[in-house]
Amino acid sequence: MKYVFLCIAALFLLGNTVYVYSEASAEQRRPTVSEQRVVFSTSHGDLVFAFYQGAAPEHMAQIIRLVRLGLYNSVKAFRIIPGFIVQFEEIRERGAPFSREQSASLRPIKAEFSSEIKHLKGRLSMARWGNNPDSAVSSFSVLLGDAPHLDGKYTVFGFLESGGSVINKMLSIPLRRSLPSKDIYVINAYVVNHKDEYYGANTFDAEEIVAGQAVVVDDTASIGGRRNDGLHNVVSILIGVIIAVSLLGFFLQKQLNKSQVVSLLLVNILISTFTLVIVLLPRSSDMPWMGVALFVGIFVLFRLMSNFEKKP
Amino acid sequence: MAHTSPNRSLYFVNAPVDYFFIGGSSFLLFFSLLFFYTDVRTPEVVAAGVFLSWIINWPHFSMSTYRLYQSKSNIQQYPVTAYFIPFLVIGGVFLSFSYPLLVAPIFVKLFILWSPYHFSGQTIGITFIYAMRSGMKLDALERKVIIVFVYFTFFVSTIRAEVSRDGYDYYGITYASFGVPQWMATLAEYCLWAALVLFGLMIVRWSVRNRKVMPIIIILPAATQYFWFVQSVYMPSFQEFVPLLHSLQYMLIAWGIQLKEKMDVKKITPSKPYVLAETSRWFMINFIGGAILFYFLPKVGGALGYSSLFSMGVMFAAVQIHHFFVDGVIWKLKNNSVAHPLMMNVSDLTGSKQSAPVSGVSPS
Repeated sequence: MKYVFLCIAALFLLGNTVYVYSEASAEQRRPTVSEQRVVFSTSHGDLVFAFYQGAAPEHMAQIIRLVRLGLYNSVKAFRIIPGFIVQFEEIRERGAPFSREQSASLRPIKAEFSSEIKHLKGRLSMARWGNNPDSAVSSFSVLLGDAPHLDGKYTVFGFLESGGSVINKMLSIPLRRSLPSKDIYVINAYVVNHKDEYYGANTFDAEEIVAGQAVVVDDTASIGGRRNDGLHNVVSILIGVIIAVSLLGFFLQKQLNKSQVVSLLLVNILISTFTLVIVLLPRSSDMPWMGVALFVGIFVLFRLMSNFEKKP
Repeated sequence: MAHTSPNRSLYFVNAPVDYFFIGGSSFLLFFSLLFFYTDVRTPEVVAAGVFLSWIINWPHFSMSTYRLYQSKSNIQQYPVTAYFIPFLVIGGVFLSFSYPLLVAPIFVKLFILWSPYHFSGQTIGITFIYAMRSGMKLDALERKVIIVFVYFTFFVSTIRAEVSRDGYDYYGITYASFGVPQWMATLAEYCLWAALVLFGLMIVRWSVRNRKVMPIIIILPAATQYFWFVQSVYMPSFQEFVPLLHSLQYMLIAWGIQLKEKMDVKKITPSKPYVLAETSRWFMINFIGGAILFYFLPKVGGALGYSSLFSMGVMFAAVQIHHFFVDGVIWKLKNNSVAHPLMMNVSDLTGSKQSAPVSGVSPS
């Protein structure tokens, strides 16, 4: 029995090592970032947005056009889901009257999905109406966590370059469901043609940008790096638990009956499956067969778990 | 083939009560809500769901924990579940709080997927309990048909949910779906219809072979689950109550076993005052237990500086995962001084004359 425990632990360790290496190499590419920045001076501080010019040019143009027309002024961040998003409302929701030009500019744009630019923490994802991918107008979200399930469904068009501490202030506001209990609104939104125009004239936390703290994202590599760091830690902890449970089974095998030893083995299978789902679920958006395999695997797991402490 | 003791009742309490708890309440609610149909969960429905959770759903989780931990003998029968699983679940909670974006969504997803599987296990268990109570012997094929039908109701609902790539939100914790292809959902649905036909044929076959109609209470749990998982897709308001309805089924049987066991172990004379007093005591303990698990425990995370919504999501998932483990063993607990707790009837507890069999199954 001890060999079974140890073999499972070893195989699992090997599989995860291979995966983590492949994951790290896949996160090396950097998409092109425009020189222009959009600044939202909000009631809680400044947010600076940068754009993936090559990947979503229509979205970039739309946001800059709407900002220049003053349309984002007084728009609210109406939806906050910790770990997921801070979303700015549709401009039409803001209540202020529109000029003819402003009204005409509020038109839907086509989706610009990119297989390169994923929904990762700190990026900007355009909202849409219902299930129509070509219905995005003005509402968008800052992602507070990776959201692979949105890839290919919503357009990622930029990232939050500075303002992590501002987002943290927003997150400290008590929520009623996802609605902030205190208004968070854009006092003034404007465009700067070069990032230095903003950073040269304003106070900001330079370390925040360099270190990529909170939700501030400087480039893709840093996001990938942070995700991998977390993943490495979690996988290491879970492998540690598997080994600990195996050792427990090994040292107590004389005190335990067969059903109890099998139960400890089932615990290891549960933790292994859990780890695999953590590691592989983000991949299932690219590889549907992976989703099917995980789905089937989970139900095999449940079936096995019905033997937990089953008397012989 | 069919046989039963002439002195045993098919029901734990009586026909109206058992029918109500096992499935009648689900049908009543489903058809009542048809009259107030909306395509969303209205605030009134959500408020009613929360209120009923305090008195039905949350105590039901406490009941399973209480049943395992109320005696040393119980704990000793299943030490891995009793001693080891709490640590495993607490470990999951710590990891979820430490890695809210990596671990918490998968922790929640595990519970979300396991929950309907657990419901299915209960449905099959209750079906077989009533079959046993009626003295009805189901052959291997009949048992397989029931199991296949029940599990396909669950498969269809789960696969439908996993086709979407949008992911879902549980108390602010967003978890991804597997993104299984649509053809799997379609295939599962065809299989469900085939399983439904087989289920119907099984009832007819049994009835013809035994020259009597199969007792409705044996068909009811599976039919109820079909409404919970398949029909409810068109009725979001009804979905809100499905966990409550599952808990209601559970409560009837857990109550019967609790009172019968205590009476036998402590050699208490059957009487109505005993039933009333023990029911009140048992319910109060579990009401408080439910409040601790679902109201006060999530506040610990909030007090430690985490978002209270996030804390609720993680703690709810943890309590329910623990419940799935505990529920897997509590029905197998043995006590030599307790005679057939699953065959109890309320008349055993009150000391009144036992009711005649009402199953329609004649004694052999």
